[in-house]
Amino acid sequence: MAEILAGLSAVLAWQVLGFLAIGVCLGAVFGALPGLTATMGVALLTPLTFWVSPEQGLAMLLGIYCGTIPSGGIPAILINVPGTPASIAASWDGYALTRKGQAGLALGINALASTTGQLTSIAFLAFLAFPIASFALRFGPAEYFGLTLLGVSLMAGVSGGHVLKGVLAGTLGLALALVGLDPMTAYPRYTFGMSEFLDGISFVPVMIGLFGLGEVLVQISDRQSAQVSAAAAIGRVLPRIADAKRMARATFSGAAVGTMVGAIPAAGGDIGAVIAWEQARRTSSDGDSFGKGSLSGLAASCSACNAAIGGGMTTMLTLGIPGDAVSAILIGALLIHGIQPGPLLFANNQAFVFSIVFLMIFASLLIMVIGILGAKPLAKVLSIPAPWLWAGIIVFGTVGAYALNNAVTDVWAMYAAGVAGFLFRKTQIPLGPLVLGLILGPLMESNLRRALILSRGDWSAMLTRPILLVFLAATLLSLLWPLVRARRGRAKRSQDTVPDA
Amino acid sequence: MVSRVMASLAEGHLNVPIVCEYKPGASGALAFSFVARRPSDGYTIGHAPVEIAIVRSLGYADIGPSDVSLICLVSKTAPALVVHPDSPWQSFEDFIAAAKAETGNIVMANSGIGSIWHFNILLLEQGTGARFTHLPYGGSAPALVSVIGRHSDAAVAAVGEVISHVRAGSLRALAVFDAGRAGVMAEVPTTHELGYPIGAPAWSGFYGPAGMPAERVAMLADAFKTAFETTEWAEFCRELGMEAHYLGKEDFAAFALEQQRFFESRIPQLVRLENP
Amino acid sequence: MRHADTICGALLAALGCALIVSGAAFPAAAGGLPGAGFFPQSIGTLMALLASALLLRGLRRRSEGSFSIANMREVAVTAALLLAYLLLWGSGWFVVRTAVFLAIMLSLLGQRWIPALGYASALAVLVYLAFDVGLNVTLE
Repeated sequence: MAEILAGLSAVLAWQVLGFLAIGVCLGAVFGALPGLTATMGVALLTPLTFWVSPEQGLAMLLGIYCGTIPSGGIPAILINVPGTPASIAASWDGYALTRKGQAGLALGINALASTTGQLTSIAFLAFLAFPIASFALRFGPAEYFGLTLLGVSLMAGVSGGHVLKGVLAGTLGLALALVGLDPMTAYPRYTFGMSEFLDGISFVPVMIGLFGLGEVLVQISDRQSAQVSAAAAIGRVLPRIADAKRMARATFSGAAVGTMVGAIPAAGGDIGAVIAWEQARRTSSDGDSFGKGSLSGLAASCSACNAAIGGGMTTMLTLGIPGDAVSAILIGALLIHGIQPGPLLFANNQAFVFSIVFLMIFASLLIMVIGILGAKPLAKVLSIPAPWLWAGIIVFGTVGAYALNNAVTDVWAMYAAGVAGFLFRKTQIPLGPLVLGLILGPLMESNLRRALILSRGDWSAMLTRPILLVFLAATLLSLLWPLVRARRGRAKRSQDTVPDA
Repeated sequence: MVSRVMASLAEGHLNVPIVCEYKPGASGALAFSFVARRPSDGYTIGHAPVEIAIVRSLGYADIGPSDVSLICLVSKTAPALVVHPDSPWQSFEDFIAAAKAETGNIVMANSGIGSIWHFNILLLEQGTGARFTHLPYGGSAPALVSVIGRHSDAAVAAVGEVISHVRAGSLRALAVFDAGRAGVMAEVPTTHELGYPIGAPAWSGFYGPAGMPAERVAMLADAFKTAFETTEWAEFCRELGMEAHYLGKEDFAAFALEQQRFFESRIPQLVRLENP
Repeated sequence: MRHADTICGALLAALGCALIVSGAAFPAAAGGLPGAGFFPQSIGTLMALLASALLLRGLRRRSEGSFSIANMREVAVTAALLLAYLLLWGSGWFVVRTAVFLAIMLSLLGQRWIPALGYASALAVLVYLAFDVGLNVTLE
């Protein structure tokens, strides 16, 4: 108790809270612009923190971290361009809501569910840090392979009715992920002799192209039919109590999934949000509305990608292991300030851990307030004439793709992905599975091969690992479930109508 | 990280702001080629890690220390061998004996084929006659995690990367691959003391495009030297477990060429050793 | 175009086969472990099978995979303009180049010249200030 109070009092200084607010605001800007990631924000500002006290520096960095992910959902909802990879799943239902004229409600749910996800994961961090950390540590190559297999099996679920095309798009994503040095032998694959390709196709420019540029081209093509901007209805921001009650289950189970996935190193909010969305869809009584503007679907994905923050922080603080690129930089920043993440931090410096917990709680509440108050002004973006909006998306997307690595090749990747995204949408090839394949491909391949090195090439030896078995069972279930449902549906229909010959 | 801190410390002495651009990719090969192609006016310089002496041998880019104007070296980091604290191996000798007893019995996580720490593992095999099962990861952090989670038995990574886990008691360091003991881990013996003079440290320096005017190089070297002598730099190095180590232009050039010759002569031999 | 599914299927089936063939050329790993070619070949096989299914479906039910682009001219012009803009990337005068490109694009999309130019210039300056000045990303 004394530690909790000590931790609280350490951060209750106006300078600390001021830096936290600066961080949250900067994070909100970084998140809303595709191409500017939380990683970049934290990396750019880390040197700045040398000139301030450790608490102030940490407050700013945590503020950026907590501010980026919720605001990444804003462009995903308003213009179907995810601001960060974590908010890809949020665009499925969020943008559908915008097209229905409920942009305000979508932004409100994003703000509320994001903060709920963050606060839930912070509670996990405060009370269950060690069980979560030991769970994360049990993830060896075989377990990672199981996780990615489950992720890949979700491809059919996120295909929105075009299952065959969706799974094909997924294999295309897996194939694109092959480009670059083989993760195990460093043999260059499909690089065509260009050193720019040795590290593979960078993911964020492809995402900006598929969703940003691709969406612009689609809108130009559909111009007279879909006048989103003319409608520009915003609607109410805060959900009704009844709606909120209905979303509660999806929000909290999304938060639990997000925390767990976030705690596993190298698996982050992007994967967590997709898994949570699909899980909510499958357990919902109204699963068919998912992807067409389901409130629960939006809430589950927003909550999960934000809960991954607390999950990642748990692994980082308890084990000193970075869960993602942002926490890797945070560890560096802590070390420079003479703070050693690891089990000893919890034993010797509990007050500091609680300082972090309180800073994250404040940041999370602040971003919620910003999100709710900002919803109406931000949704005004929709009343900008469509061509002006397109010009903005194109120029910010292009420069954002370049800014990521200062590489022209990334801009070209963005452009190619944009044209491909346009053609895919025109031929009803869903983009979700493609992105899933790109994210999961390298993780899946390297961990399967690592697992086989460890089992000396024996595939069956992997089956002795309990966590992997759970994943395999879940994968089988997710593959068989649509078949079961289709059969049930067909049986029902054949009762109603005479089957055509 | 090294360049950002160094830049912020050197800025005051150059009277121009220093802009850090980050160009990742192919062990730094992309960044080296980018800087080498820039005008040699001294306004674009690059951060030169040990990989500048390696990438040509790996075939990632046709560039080496002699294709650029080296300015100065500012830090060095030795590798360390770590195992899980609950493992039976209390000392380097135990470990090597166990590895020799059964070929490939010990799983050694590395930070990626072709990385500097992977070479150190190969040098260890060559120097001691032990043979490991290699488990490649994409970087030191996941390789160390696999040892902490007991998915693999041992790993080699920078002293600075392992020190926090060693202090926290989640890893045990068996040896530092260097001639002298590491300041932050003075209790850990070195391979040289143990009779195996092996080890290839990582280092950090700065360089510009080839043909940079000598006075520009000297000016930059002076600025970095002043920055190097600040207490902030010493503290930064100590916190990250690096050794602050300064070499001027000529010494750095000689050192980098010697390193390149070392990697050129060893890499083909080591790669053969791994794929018999 | 009414054969979109058939064409997609054929292209992806060819890509799948290419993956299988090229995967065979990658070095194998020692000790019977899957090598660098294992994943390309697995993915290629899966892709070839699924793509063949799409190809067959496309041949059987031609009406389903119909494909048409409305406003083809405007889409093509935007894509071509953007291509020209990317080809000129890094040739200096970032703000002017960007403003001109955006203004041309906007006017071709039916906006009036003067406001388009004003908006395009403002956007170019804003991006320059945010990225080059604010975030130290060299735009030239």
